[in-house]
Amino acid sequence: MSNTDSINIDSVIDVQNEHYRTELVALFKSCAMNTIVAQGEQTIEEIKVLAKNGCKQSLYITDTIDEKKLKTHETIPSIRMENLLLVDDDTKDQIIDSEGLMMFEHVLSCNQDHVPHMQLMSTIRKIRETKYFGVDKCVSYGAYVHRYVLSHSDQRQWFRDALFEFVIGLSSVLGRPTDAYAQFAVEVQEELLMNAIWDANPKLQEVDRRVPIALLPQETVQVEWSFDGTHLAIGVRDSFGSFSKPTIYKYLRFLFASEKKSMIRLQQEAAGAGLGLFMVLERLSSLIVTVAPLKSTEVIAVLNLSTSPKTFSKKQRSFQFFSV
Amino acid sequence: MEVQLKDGIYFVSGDITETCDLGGFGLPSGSVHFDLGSVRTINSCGVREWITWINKLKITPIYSNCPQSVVMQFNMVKEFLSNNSKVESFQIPAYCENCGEQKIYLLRSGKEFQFGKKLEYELKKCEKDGCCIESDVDFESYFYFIESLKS
Repeated sequence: MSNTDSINIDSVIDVQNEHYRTELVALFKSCAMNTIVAQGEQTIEEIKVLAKNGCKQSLYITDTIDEKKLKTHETIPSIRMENLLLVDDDTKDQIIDSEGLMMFEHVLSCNQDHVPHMQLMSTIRKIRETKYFGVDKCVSYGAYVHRYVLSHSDQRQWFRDALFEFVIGLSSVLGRPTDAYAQFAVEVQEELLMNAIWDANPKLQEVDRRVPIALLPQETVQVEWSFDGTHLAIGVRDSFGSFSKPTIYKYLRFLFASEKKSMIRLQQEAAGAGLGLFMVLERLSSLIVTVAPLKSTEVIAVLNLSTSPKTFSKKQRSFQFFSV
Repeated sequence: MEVQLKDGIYFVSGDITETCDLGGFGLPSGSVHFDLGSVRTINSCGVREWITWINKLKITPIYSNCPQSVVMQFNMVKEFLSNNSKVESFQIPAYCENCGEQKIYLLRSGKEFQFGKKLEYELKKCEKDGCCIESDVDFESYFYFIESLKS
């Protein structure tokens, strides 16, 4: 019996790492997904068969970047591919210089020989249920979601103070001081809010940001926070849907640079106008961007607060881009 | 952001944002000593605005007591340390899981670190048994600005 509210999604696993491959097959089976394991030119044939059999959407999961193959997949009619790249400590440095990264909607880090179960299942659920927006999908079930609306740029001071206090208050839950996380969270929220207030709004892009601005009802920004005991998710949603994929991909490769010093050097060389985006990328565990073109953009930053801030920046990171 | 003058030192506190206006505090040109110990956060527009004001007022800044939020910007925005800027001291936040104590270590120029030289630093443990104090920051990236700045 199938759920009529959800869409059917199949998966093609083209993963060289045998351990990941076995785990993915078992995981997708548990999600009741039709899964095909294929490699080399086989993937093209298998996707053609899926399309011929009426499959409208499929996940393509790989741990290598093969631009030629990905481009061929795109030419197969009547099937939409969601390309997902798995990276780990051994492979992430390779993606830094690969232009093919742009062809992936999802880049997820594997953690200690395991594929990221929760992120994969959450991704599948979003696609199946076609419900993409909201921080509730980035934290464990049951976590309370704080929801606010920002209608004036001056309200950012309240948002800074409130989030700072909120994260400081989590120290009792986490059993250690959270001062550094509070700083990171506020700085991330600041950049996301400035992006939503000014950069996303075609009318305000060139406006002097030192001048306080009242937003029209259709320009207001929705803010959400949620904490599930481990992850803090901060979501900021605008009403424009103008965020383009290349904007973020230009800087994304730095997120996966394993050598911190080289990352800083690269940042200094290339930051310029993208400084705000760099600041966001440096302080988070996961970044999830969802764009409904010309309608709305939601950027969710997830900070994993389960370890000390020292190891925070070395933790496995992930990036996802949903165009809906 | 607030700035208060005390004993020849300008104490900066709060959040450095795009509204940062160093023009309103009667700052002199030339060498100015800023204590940044109470800076909570800095956003990307705040960094740019700070640098603009430093250039506009022809200030040669001396920064002391710099917290993590400021050091992260030193490492990311090299212009922050232009105009012959000097960093007199900066903080390392640390925490001991054993005794649950949070501690701030202050590293001073000419004592604990020398500009242009790679810093190898070890946190001093407290006198309590089983002290396992550990820095909250990754030294390799945190100390990057020290190596890249001339003495």
